Amino acid sequence: MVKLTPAEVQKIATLARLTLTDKEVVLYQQQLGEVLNYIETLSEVDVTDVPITSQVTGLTTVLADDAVVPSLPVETLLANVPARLDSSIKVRAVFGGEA
Amino acid sequence: MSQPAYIDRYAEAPPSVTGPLNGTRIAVKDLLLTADGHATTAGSQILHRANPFHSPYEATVVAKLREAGAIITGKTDLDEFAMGSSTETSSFGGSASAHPVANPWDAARVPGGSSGGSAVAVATGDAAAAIGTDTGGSIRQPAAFCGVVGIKPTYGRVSRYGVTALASSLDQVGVFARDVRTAAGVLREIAGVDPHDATSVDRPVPDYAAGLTGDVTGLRVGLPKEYFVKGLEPAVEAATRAAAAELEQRGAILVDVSLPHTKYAIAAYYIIQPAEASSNLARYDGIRYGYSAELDQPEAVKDLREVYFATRSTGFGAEVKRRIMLGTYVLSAGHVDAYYKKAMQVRTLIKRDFDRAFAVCDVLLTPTTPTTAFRRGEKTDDPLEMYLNDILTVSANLAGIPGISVPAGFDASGLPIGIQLLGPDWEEGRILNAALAYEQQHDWHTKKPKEVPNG
Repeated sequence: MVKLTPAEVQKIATLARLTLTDKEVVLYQQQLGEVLNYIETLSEVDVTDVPITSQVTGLTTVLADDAVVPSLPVETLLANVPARLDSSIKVRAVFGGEA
Repeated sequence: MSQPAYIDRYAEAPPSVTGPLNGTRIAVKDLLLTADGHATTAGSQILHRANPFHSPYEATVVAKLREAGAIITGKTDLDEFAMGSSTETSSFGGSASAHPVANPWDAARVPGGSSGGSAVAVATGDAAAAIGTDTGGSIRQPAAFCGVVGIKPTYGRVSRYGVTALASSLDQVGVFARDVRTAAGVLREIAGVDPHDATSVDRPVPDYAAGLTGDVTGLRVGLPKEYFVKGLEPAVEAATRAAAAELEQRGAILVDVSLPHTKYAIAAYYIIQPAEASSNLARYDGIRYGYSAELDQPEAVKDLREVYFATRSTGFGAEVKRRIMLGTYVLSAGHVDAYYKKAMQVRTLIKRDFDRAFAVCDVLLTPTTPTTAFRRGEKTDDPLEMYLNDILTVSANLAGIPGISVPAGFDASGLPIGIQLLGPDWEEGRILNAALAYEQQHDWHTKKPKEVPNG
């Protein structure tokens, strides 16, 4: 029976850059616990010598020609930016805050 | 009228080119990027609130539809980031809305998901066809619930460029239509390798519609016993078995087969998909596009890190958060081998089950869903129960094989039933043809819902 502690839920949320209210911690603790508990059925499966499947096409190293092609204009690309400074994206200081 | 099916219903204009799709009116799931002055939302506020996202580029599929002369009717509603089986998680026409997307056959019921809006647009006749995506059943299941045809091609058949990613190894774009022939015609126009999508496969695209004969003489139709699950509604089972009998009368050969790892498919899927989703949704950080905490709560965020937390917590809905956290957990150190790696090994076993089955049959016939459309709100409090709905569809995504759902009658409440045909990789033509053979025996695909829910 998989049981997540509130601390574990908080840790997962932090890794995922999500802030949870106390109520949400309790809710997700229960819901995630149920799903993880269901997933435990996979422990029945014998996977000895079974390779992983991460993709089904079998394609590897699909290359493009090393040629110059038109790019989208800078203005088009910046049109959605929430905070701009000329042709730059404005962000809070990377250093100086918490890591 | 059928407005609720759409997040953004376009004012229609005649196509700028003539082409094989010849003015066919096609709705597009709002997971695909359009660069035509209209926003793209993915059903989420994180691409809409305070800074609606207008994509700088268009999905290859959308470009191909335009080049083929289609009329785009608008962007249809969907579960947020395609996470859901009922369209209830949409931040637009979802369960919190005053006008949720409803099943046109019974307004108290869900249209299915995640491509619910696309299914409704076709079922009501508002569009002749629609584009959806299918990661775990999100075309086939709403097609079954809404009484229309829905096809998920082989993974790699259709470009994913410009399709907002949920799970990159599972997502595939597909087609809704009223009938098999229309679906075949649209599929041909959107299929094909794309240099912008390194997971698209360079194989010729057959003229699927021209290849349809309706002849199934000698076609070996496999019936996998594990798909006749406990909890399968009697009417759904009866429709599937009747379909098998009809195909047999038309010359098909029925074969009993077994797909022994079917019972592990949901567990494997709900590890792999959330894992890939947690990675794909890391890009929504309030920096380059869409909603940012900087826009409406700048004083509440003290540094860059808090911009991420506040943006994501405000912008994402509950189901998205749930799946991101599930994915984060199964990928985290100490858990990745037991969960993610194990799931990828089980995925191999599921694929091998299909390979073995297709050595003795040409197509598989199954119900598409265990039940007909459920009521709005019935499963929203129990995520696991919602996930278990996908049991008959997820395996095809894990294996990458093509699948189609076709209308197969109605239950005693007048709700549509769908049956599913699955084929080996690249055999879209074969499953379309078998579907046509079945469709020709009935007129269910000509039925339209009487009541069209108000917008």
